[in-house]
Amino acid sequence: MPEPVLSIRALETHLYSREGTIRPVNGVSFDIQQGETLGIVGESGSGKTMTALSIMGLIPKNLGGVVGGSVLLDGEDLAQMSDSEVRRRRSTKMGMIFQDPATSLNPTMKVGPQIAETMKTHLGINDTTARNRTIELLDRVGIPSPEGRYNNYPFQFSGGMRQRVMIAIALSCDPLLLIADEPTTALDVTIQAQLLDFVREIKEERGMSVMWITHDLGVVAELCDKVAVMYAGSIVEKASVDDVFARPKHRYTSMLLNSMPSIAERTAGRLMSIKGLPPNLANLREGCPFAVRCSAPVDRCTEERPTLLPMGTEHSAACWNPVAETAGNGKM
Amino acid sequence: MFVYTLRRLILAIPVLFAVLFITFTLGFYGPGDPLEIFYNEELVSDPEITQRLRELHGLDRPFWEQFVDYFTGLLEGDWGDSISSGRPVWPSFAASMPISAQLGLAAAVVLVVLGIPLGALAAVKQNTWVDYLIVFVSIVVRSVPVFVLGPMLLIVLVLWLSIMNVPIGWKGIFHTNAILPVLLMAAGPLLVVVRQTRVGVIEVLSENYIRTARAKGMRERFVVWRHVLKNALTPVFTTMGLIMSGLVTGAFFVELIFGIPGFAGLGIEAFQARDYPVILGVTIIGAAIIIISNLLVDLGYGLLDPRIRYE
Repeated sequence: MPEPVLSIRALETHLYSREGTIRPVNGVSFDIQQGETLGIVGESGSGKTMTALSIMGLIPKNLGGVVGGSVLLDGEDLAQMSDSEVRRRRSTKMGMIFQDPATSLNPTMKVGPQIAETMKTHLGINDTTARNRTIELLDRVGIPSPEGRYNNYPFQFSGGMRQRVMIAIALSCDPLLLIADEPTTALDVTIQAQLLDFVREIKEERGMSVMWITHDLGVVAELCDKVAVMYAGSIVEKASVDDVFARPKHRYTSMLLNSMPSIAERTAGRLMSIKGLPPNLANLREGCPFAVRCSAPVDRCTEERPTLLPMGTEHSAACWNPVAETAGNGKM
Repeated sequence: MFVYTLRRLILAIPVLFAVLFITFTLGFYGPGDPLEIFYNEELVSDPEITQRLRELHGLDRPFWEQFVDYFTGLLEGDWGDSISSGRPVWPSFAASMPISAQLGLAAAVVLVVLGIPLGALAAVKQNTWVDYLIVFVSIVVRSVPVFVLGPMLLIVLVLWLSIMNVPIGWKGIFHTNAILPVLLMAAGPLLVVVRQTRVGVIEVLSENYIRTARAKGMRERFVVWRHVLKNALTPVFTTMGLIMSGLVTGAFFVELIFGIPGFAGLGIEAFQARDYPVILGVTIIGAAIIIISNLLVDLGYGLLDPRIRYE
């Protein structure tokens, strides 16, 4: 297997708060190959966004930061680099788009220059070239009459168009990896579908790797090759999309799948929900963090924290009492 | 924009009229008149003469007659004659206003050049000694009254360090004499500008689009100058507008300490002497300056924030 574009090992991030140290990312490891799309799923507060921000080096210094592990991007360890070295790799090697397109663009700056300045910073090109390339990019991401739109302000764009502008920014310096942090959550479903199609298209065109954070399993099924399920700052299950949907191993994953509405099982009545709340990341107890909410805990779950164990080809889960093969619900 | 400006200027007319009317009424019905003060100060010894003078200046006439008389005079560009000096009021306005305006504008420039960078620096270095030092110094400078700070600076700079002569009198804004008055005028409001900028920058630094700018890999200095400042400056701009009208109409203590023949001094003298034409003139001009600076602030918003448009 070729060298992965992104290879994360035992990543640990701490945030400092009044209640003490919070560990939103607690020993996360995964790889993303070239051209591959990894979906990161999990409920709010499971550490998805913090993992992404840790990779990008975007956690404000006064709040905390990466304290352990390695982040190999294109063979270089970002965790060992100085701030300015990491900064130079943003846009050029990794681009990121965010959840809320309404607030992610500078409201008092024209849209075109917001894209162009990225290229001017990293590619050392002059104003005219940057402008021309920006207009090409706007056209590529599907903004009609890009030349006129260059001088518009963000408030003159719709939500979907703003997210396209964000994508144009992220793609402007041709990165190896695109990190998308729930970019479609704030958009309505038709716009969401258009955007997903577009990302898939551009990904194939450029052979780019994508790390797609979402809590929408539907998006995962549509877009991703592999899935990592996060819970309480750790990955609890990693597998191909087919395996996760057909043969979930971790109890959390299977409960998550059961809480998803399905057209086929419309008659089933009430939708399943997972009782309880995610644990407090400031003081995690011993054992499996999911044990208290789990549908089938065993004694070992409260005593010892499970680690990721292989459960089939390229399928691993951190569970002492994994779902048996026949119990897979095969829902897709 | 042009229509908007025009409408605002037309709306200013009734406001100015109201200011004039209220000031006139207060003067008319308020206690004392200039001749009573003359009498008290023994400038005029005979009550008969006082009464004559009163008639001479038309102060014995009924309210409406006096008001209409003054108002029609004003419409013809006649600001009346000073009761104390007997000379027309306008030349003394024309002489003192440019002085105060220059001092005020220079102080505003100092405020912007000093206050905004200091505030931004304090915000970027939030909760470090740099932040604490900047905030502490501006609070101290603010807390010491001008009539203490002025003489103190004079003692230190002129008597102890002997690096300058006593800067008395007005020799133009570019003369070294103007340095201390300008700095003193800027000293008080500096805290307001520093604090407003600091708060604005801190707030904007946590906005999503700043995270975007960082995610793009922009240099931090560039992020602050290009993305933070413009968005943080709107509230600063509002305060600057308010400070400006105060600065331009003059700073009484500064004028007094440095012997500058400014607009504020003119006003204070007139108030003490109940010199009605001067009081009225000073009030109307002051009101007009406040109206204009408010209009400029509102127009400035449009430049700072593209979402604001004036129809």
